[in-house]
Amino acid sequence: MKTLWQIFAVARTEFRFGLRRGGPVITTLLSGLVFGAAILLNPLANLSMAKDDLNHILQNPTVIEKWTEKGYTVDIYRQTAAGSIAEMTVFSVPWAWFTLLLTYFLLLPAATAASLPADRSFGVAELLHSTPISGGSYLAGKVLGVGLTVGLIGLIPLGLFFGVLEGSFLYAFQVGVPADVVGFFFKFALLDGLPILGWGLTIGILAGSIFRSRRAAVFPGLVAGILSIFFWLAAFSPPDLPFMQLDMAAYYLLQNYHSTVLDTLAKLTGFPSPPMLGKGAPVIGIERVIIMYLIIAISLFSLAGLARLWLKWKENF
Amino acid sequence: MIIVSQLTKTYGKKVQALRGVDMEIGSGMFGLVGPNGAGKTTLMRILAGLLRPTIGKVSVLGNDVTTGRGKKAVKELLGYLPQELGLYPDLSALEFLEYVALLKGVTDKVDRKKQLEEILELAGLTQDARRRLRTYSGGMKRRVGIAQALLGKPQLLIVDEPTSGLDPEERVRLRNLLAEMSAHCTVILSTHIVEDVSQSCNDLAVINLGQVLFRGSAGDLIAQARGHVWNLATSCERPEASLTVVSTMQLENSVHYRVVGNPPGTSKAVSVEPSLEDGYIWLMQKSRIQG
Repeated sequence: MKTLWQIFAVARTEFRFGLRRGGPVITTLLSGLVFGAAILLNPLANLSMAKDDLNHILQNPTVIEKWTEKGYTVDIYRQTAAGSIAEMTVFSVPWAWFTLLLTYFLLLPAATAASLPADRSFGVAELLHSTPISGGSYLAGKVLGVGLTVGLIGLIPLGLFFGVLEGSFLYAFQVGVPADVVGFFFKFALLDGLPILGWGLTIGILAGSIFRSRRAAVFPGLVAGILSIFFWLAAFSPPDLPFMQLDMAAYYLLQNYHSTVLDTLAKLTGFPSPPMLGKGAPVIGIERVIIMYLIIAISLFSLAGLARLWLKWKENF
Repeated sequence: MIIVSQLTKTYGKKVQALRGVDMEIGSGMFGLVGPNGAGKTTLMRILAGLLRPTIGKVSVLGNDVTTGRGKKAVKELLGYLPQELGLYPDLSALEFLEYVALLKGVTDKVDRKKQLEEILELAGLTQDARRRLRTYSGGMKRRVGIAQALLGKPQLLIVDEPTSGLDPEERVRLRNLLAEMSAHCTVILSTHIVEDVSQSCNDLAVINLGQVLFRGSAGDLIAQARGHVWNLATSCERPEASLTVVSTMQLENSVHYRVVGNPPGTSKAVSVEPSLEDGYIWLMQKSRIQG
């Protein structure tokens, strides 16, 4: 129980600092905004065309009459038009995914690497080490505190993303973003975005753990981030997809995504809606995704163990 | 009880900070005096479990600090003020002290609040408790340092150069506070300012170049210097080079010196009763002569 309080204390202090410091906040905001923009670029560019098409259909009595005979109201036109843009939005993920990896791994570790050296450069480390907290709890508190900061700030670009998407859909089609698209992006943020974020911030903290000044830790953080890009791509790349770069979690989510709106359209037109990753794309099971999470967890725990040994050897902590 | 035996600490291959130190420290207030670079901070850091000794044994309140378990047990009982204490500039004193309290295991909210209120009052920081630490003066920061050391009701209080940078009034206040604390726990005061020790510690040790030069009471140290402290009034000439000048007072027609050393070769010298500072200077002078 006492250990949990100690971890909480370190995390809370780190969280307070994280919010007041520029680095992790700006990095998280910037990376999130860049990735969100990369996803929205294509769908928003096609929005006015879809809107014009919808208006054209809505003004065509022949088409309306034909579909009315089948028992569909005008709303179905709006929903299918919205569905096509929604599909396009989800389909932007494979094209934009590398931006996510690149921005978070290039910027975030460099920003979070100062977390431990900050205690040394402020002259607080010796005092902290004289308290009964263990090195492991101290590291855990640091990661948790930075994680809370980054996670909380990460909600801002996520909220902006949904806000822009919802606003655009209401403006163009007078209907909101389809629920399955909202669900997809929530799952994507949680199951792929969060591990990437978690890895980026933790690897930065661990890389910086051996340095005494905050400035000295930035470059090693950057290097750790660059190496992480190669590690991630080598360890978690799913079966080959032309022109796309994804990891297992993202692949799995896209593979299992189905647009209910476009399924409806497929039933109407008689042409089946193609799978998100294309016909004949290899199928992966959930076990591949679980292995990915296990590798992430084991790697981070091993690196944390090394950092812990370093603190013990160098600072008797 | 703290027992140090044959304690040696070497940094790298060349710098020997402690050389076979043997010492026993009982309850109450203990003063560790020595010049800068004597090895005081190294000894304090070893006692606090922050440094591993190269050779030797250290038992603090029955715990061997060279083992992981012993080190943890000592930290549970410890209040520590490092020589160079930094504070988070963006936290308030209250936030910082609450942080340390939690790290020390004061998890009960009511107890924590009570301790924080008492300690802030004791340190004279109640009015400024919610101000950011970046706005504090050097003396106030030092008081925050003392306050954090007192959190968690420690059984052992190690304070390393606590009065450096404090004004005279704050120094007196701090010395009194430490003396009060020594009624409930062992207090080890490390300093190069002899006056701090003379006002509060009867039990003390003098350390230089990693070795204990003296271990005993303040009275014993003073007694060693008896017959070696002189008042000397001259018209212009300086005292012999072999004497250490403790104080110089320039009067209208003469200069009055207080010197420490073997009897000066002038009849104008008058033997005077030594102070603790004189005793310390005489000891250092003897150790230099003996090489």
